[in-house]
Amino acid sequence: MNASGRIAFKGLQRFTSMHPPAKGRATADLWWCAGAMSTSGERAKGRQV
Amino acid sequence: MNGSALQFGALDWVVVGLYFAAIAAIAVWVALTRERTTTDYFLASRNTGWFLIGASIFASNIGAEHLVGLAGSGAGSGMAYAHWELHSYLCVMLGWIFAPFYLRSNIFTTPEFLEKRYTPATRTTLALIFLVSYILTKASVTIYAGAITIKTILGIDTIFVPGVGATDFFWVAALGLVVITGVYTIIGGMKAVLWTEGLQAPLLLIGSVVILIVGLDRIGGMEALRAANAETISIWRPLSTTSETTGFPGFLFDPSDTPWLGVMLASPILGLWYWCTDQYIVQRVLTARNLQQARRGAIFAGYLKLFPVFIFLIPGMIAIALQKQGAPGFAEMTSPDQAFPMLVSYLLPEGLRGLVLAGLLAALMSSLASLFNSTSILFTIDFYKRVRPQSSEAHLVAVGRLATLVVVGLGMAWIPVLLQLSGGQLYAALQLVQSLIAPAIAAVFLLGIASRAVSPVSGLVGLIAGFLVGMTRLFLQTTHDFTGAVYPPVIQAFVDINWLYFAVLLFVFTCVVILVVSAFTPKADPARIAGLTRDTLSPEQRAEVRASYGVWDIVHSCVILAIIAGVYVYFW
Repeated sequence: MNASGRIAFKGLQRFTSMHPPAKGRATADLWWCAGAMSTSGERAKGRQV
Repeated sequence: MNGSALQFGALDWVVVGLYFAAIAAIAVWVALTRERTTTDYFLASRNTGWFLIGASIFASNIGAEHLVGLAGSGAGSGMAYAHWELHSYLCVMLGWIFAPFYLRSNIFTTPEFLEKRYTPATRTTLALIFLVSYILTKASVTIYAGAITIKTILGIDTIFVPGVGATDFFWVAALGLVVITGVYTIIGGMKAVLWTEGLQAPLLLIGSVVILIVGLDRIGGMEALRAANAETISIWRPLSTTSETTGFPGFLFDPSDTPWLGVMLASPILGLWYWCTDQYIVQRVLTARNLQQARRGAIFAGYLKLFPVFIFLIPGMIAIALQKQGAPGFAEMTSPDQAFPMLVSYLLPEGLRGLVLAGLLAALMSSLASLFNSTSILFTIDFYKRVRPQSSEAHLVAVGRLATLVVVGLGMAWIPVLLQLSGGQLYAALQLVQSLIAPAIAAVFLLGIASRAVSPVSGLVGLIAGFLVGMTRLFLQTTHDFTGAVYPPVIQAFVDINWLYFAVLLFVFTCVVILVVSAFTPKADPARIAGLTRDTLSPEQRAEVRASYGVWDIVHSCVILAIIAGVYVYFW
């Protein structure tokens, strides 16, 4: 998956996570998976805070 | 509208039904043509024209996540990520610069090119990197993203499966789509992939183009779009200005995903890997009946790749404009990420909504089909055939089919395994692999075709050195993330460099390694690499390239570059 796909995947993850599934675990799983998109930049953000 | 799910009417389901019927018809038609050789099965007999090549490149690139995810990115971040969707210039580069070398060397895979240009070990190394990363990351993510999209859009949490009971719809969607896609890919090979993608590419465009046109009309045109998204309309984003991240080397630790300097430098490097060297994309060009068609296919893909900014990102910004204008329904939008279902629900009539759903399915299935076929060719041609060179063509085709079947199974099996390990965070780490190896691969290919002075050994050394540096960062980064390990400042700095700058530095590092090793190792016999580098082309080969293009190829390429420049200027 190239950068374009990763950006899209991040958006998809945010989209699906807005409606946490009461029954299935798929969306919750996606939430974890989207850590996939974590970059050093985002960690650095945390560090700055 | 209820949550993220869309409401579909009977007409919508008719459209989806027609889509599946068309896919089935193409699959049956292709299955009736016997594929006897590996060239037939993996490269569609090397007889493909520009339309299918371009459509296939585009459909392979766009996944289900693009349709949903990029609208949210457009609504939330405006044009900040548009750089990654304006990679049409790299399609043009593939057609003009790389395709002549690839077609001349008569390869099946891009690692095979490295064997001809460098050494057999270079080929093995790259093929292994591709194969492992395709199975571990691309297959599972593509299936995952597709199934979760379908589940969310349809709004079905669980479904009753006879003999199993209530089952998470995610698994039903994933299994169903993988089986359907797997069947026609296994039976029909590349020809089935190309012909279905010839249908899927336009399909995934239509619904989104309608959203763009209707949406722009509804808000009052581009000026209204600019007014409503004044803060996010600019394509360039500033560098961080905190005291920690200014000056040298502080700027390397910019916390943003979109610092203009990092994006400007890294985007072409990462794009070069994906569009010009990755088997997943390049295989489509290798199916061309000649260089002219290959180049035109890449140029056509360049035209198609101009669309995502307009049909995925800008509609997200249209949703924001509609919300600010108080358009009916859009007041319910509580987050930019709801842009996609809002647009589809409120701008499209019944029937066209079904077209969007068919587009989602098309985007997912085309990416999957390409992935299955590309993984299969890497195993069959780069490994199996080399271990068993006496294998008959029919045997290799059978192995290719079996390999595709195994990839289908592994892709499915890998999802739950990954989710069990570290709560899914291993998945996160694996996703980084490709952006960390991309710069080294781009450097090896680019320098390889640039000059015969680049020695055979240098390619392998550069590839491995770049790979090791990238994997070292991956290891340190994941260890830091999982365990909170604290490293000495120098090592921590290595981990904390913004990923964009890291990609640039890794590219430069690999280039330096290749050039230094080349200076101290024997050059390749010119006869062995004749026609594989820019400076070893014979007069006949140069004439052949010149004969393969006309004035319209140049005009179209310039039009693409001009449109990209226009977008940059307009959204400066």
